[in-house]
Amino acid sequence: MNEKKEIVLVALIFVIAIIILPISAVILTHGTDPYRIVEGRPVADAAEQAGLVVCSETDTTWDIPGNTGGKVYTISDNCENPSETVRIEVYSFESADSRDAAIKAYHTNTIGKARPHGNMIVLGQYLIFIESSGGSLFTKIAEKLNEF
Amino acid sequence: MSEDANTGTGSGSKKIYLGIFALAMINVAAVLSIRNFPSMAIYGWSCIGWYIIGTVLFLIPISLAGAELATGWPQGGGVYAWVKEAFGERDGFIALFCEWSNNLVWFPTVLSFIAATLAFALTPDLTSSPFYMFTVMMIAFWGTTAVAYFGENASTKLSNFGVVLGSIIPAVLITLLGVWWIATGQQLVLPEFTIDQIAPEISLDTLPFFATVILLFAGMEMAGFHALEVKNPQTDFPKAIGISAVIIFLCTVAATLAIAFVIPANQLSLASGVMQAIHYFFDSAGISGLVGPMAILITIGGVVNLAAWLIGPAKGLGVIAEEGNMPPMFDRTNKYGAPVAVLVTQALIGSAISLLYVFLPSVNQAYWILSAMTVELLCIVYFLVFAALIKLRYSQPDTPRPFKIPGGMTGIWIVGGLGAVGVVFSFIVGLMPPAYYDNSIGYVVAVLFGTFVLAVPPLIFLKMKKPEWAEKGKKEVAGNE
Repeated sequence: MNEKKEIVLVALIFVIAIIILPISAVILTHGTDPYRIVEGRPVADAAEQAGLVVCSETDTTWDIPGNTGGKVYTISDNCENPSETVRIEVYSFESADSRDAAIKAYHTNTIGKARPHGNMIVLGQYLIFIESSGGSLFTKIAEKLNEF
Repeated sequence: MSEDANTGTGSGSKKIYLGIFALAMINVAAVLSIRNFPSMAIYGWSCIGWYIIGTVLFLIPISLAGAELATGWPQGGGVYAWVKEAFGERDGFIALFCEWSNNLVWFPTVLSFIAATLAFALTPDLTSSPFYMFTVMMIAFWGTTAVAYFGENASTKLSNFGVVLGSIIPAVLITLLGVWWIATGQQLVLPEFTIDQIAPEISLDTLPFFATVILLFAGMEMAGFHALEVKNPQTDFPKAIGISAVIIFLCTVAATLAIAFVIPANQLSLASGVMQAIHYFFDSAGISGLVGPMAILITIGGVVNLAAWLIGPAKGLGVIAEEGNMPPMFDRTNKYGAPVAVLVTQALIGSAISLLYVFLPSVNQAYWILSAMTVELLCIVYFLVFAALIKLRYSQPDTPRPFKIPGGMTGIWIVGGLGAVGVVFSFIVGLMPPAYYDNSIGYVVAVLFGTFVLAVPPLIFLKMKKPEWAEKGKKEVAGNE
């Protein structure tokens, strides 16, 4: 094999191994998260449908362009004597672009080298955040949110 | 030139040697990140417990392992040289390639952080402009590559200056504000300290976070890539690793607690990250005018963090090419001794990935898988390093190790074993899909497949390897560059 062929082969290895396969394939196979207007209060509604109770609801904001507001919910199975509680942040965005920019911003706020903090669900105009220790309550809510 | 970089002569040309401070700053640049503080502060007093877990299961083992391996085998190549000594060329190449390729996936994330933080100092609206983001990302990326192009002297200056300005000063400033907050009698948002509050909540639900914390201090091996530029590696490496570990631990714990003292956990948004926390923190202290300058300092911290990860593994890959394990095109070094072909290849691939990252529509689940792949690749690197540490005590017991982990074989098994168990645990947990993910098997397959593809090129190169690569590639110095 001459040097030119070697260079082509090496370039192919890098392009296939590093760009096309792992990155493009992952992005393309997952499709985009469509921007649509979800009516109501999806997290509170999902919690209710999962048999849980919203114990508190406060306003919050995210200092990022296009954010039109947010809520922080504390949800439990029983607000008086909870066996488990979960704190969920919900932010709404005015456009697909601003929401997508916020998704990117979230993924740059990592702990250590790579992992973003907690979990994020994209639902229409909303970005929904939960701590890593969301636990079984969040799994129940997430199942319901997937139906919206 | 920095005080710690001395000149000497080597190979007939002026050679730059790194001193203890410069070596320590390389590790600090790679590991100490202001980004971690608000996310950890959410846990209040128990952040101390989480940091202790990360320290015991990773920071101490990797520091001790790095010190022993770097003093025993102070050749260039860092993890490549160490794993090669223990398990052979193939595994050494895989370890180094995993360290290098995980960077390629990670670059867009850190570049995006740099651009977004800088926008905070200018006008936050800029973050919604893909053109602004991409332009700043490319300036930071190619600028850092250009610094690496000018060799160790330029890199050392950037590292020494940048890490003090962009990582240590912000951490100290945050800590001092926390001290001032207490000293002036202002209300602490944390409950009164009791020893039991340090204990973190460990359960099935917190496993992903547990795994994240283990790798919180990834990068402590970075100084090892610069072994050829160290005059007295046997004495300087252990000191530099010790100094960097202490600086990283103290800055991280103190600044995190300072934030936890001042900002209520419910104000520490999971989503919005470090700058919103800094904004709140400085507002509370009545110095909101300093938010912009702080954003600039943190941007500098991001750049040196990028530089540490960009330069170290590239140097390692340059050593592999020099040994004839990659086609000669990768063995080009310039007159400053920088592996210019590897740097340019890296910059081109990183730019292409950044382009996809900025201009393709955001796909949350895809990003999650890519970050999981980064973690898995890092776990492979560290597992091989810890395994090499143990293996070399058996296969090369008589090789002089100026720094030796105390305790004989028991000590080596405790240190290597703790580190290996920690990273295997992180690897397994890295395969757990997030709660909302509806296709668990698809997730696991995607992460494993991506990890495999990013780890496998060394096997292809070694299959293609020809004897003339080693001769042909020998020191193709691009003298005119």
